[in-house]
Amino acid sequence: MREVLGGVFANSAFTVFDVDGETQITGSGRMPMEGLTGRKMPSLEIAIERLDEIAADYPAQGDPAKAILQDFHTFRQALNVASGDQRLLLFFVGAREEVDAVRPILEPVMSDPEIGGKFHLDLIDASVDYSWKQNIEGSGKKAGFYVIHAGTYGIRGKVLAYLPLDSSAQNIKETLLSQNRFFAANERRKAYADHVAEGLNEGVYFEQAVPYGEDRDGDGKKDNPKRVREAEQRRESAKLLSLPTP
Amino acid sequence: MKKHLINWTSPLVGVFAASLLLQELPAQKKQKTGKKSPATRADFQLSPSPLPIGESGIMWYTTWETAMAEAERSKRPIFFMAAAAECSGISGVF
Repeated sequence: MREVLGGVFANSAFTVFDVDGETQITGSGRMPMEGLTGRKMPSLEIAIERLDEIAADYPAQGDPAKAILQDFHTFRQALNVASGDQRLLLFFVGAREEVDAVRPILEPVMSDPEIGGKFHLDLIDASVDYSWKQNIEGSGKKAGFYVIHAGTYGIRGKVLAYLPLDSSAQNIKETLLSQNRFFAANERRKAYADHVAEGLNEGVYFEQAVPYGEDRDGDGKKDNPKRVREAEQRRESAKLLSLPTP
Repeated sequence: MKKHLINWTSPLVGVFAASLLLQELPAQKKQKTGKKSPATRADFQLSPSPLPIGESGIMWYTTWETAMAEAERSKRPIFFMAAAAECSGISGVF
């Protein structure tokens, strides 16, 4: 974060890297438009034009159906991101060799134009992390595919559908599309202000792996120690608390 | 807007690092009374996503390792975003 933002540590950062993952093609900033164009408040259309210009220099190669699968570092993160994005989470849990075996089944599914960009995907080796079941209604002991609806605050969730290990790509796709139709028809888009205010009033606290506090002036110190203390108090009195997986 | 979001999925590898923090927004108003009032929606100002639920958005890679692998495989650059899926400790939102 500090490298991308020139020494600043803030709550968001945007930039574009070259294929090597090291060379920045654009500037960077706390908003996408700023990062892409170097301007403070350009229009979204200008930012999109800039992305199109960059993309034109990099024609995609390789078979789209063999795109690398998305994954998360932890189920806890997957559930929260799925909640924040308001997408259903396709979650696969199994032994390590089962996770490896399922990848060629999932690759064409997740890159299917009817599926891509509508879901999040997480795969875990059950021997590494079984904590996923703690807050998930309908969770089971079986290895396989779970379509999960993340709760409002991304801390709890509910299994909408389960598919066994030997499910075909077609079965997985049809299940995802069917569940997504129902989800889309019944889920309301979150309003940021209402969501945060309600969460504060309900005593929700989600602890990130990175310590709380920004350093927007890049002096190496937290900007607002009072807010850091308030966050610690909210953590201590939380009614719905989520801590990083040890 | 929707067309451009879909176009982003093919030319660029979008990678999102969801491991950082988020503080209250600058728009938060300070309470002048000594009493602590319940938080209200006026304290936080961001409009909801315009993307209809269930429709295709960006196909994010949510670990750097997978993003690098896809960038290398497809020879596409990486649109990098680092943000926290929480605000003031309230998760389930960006």
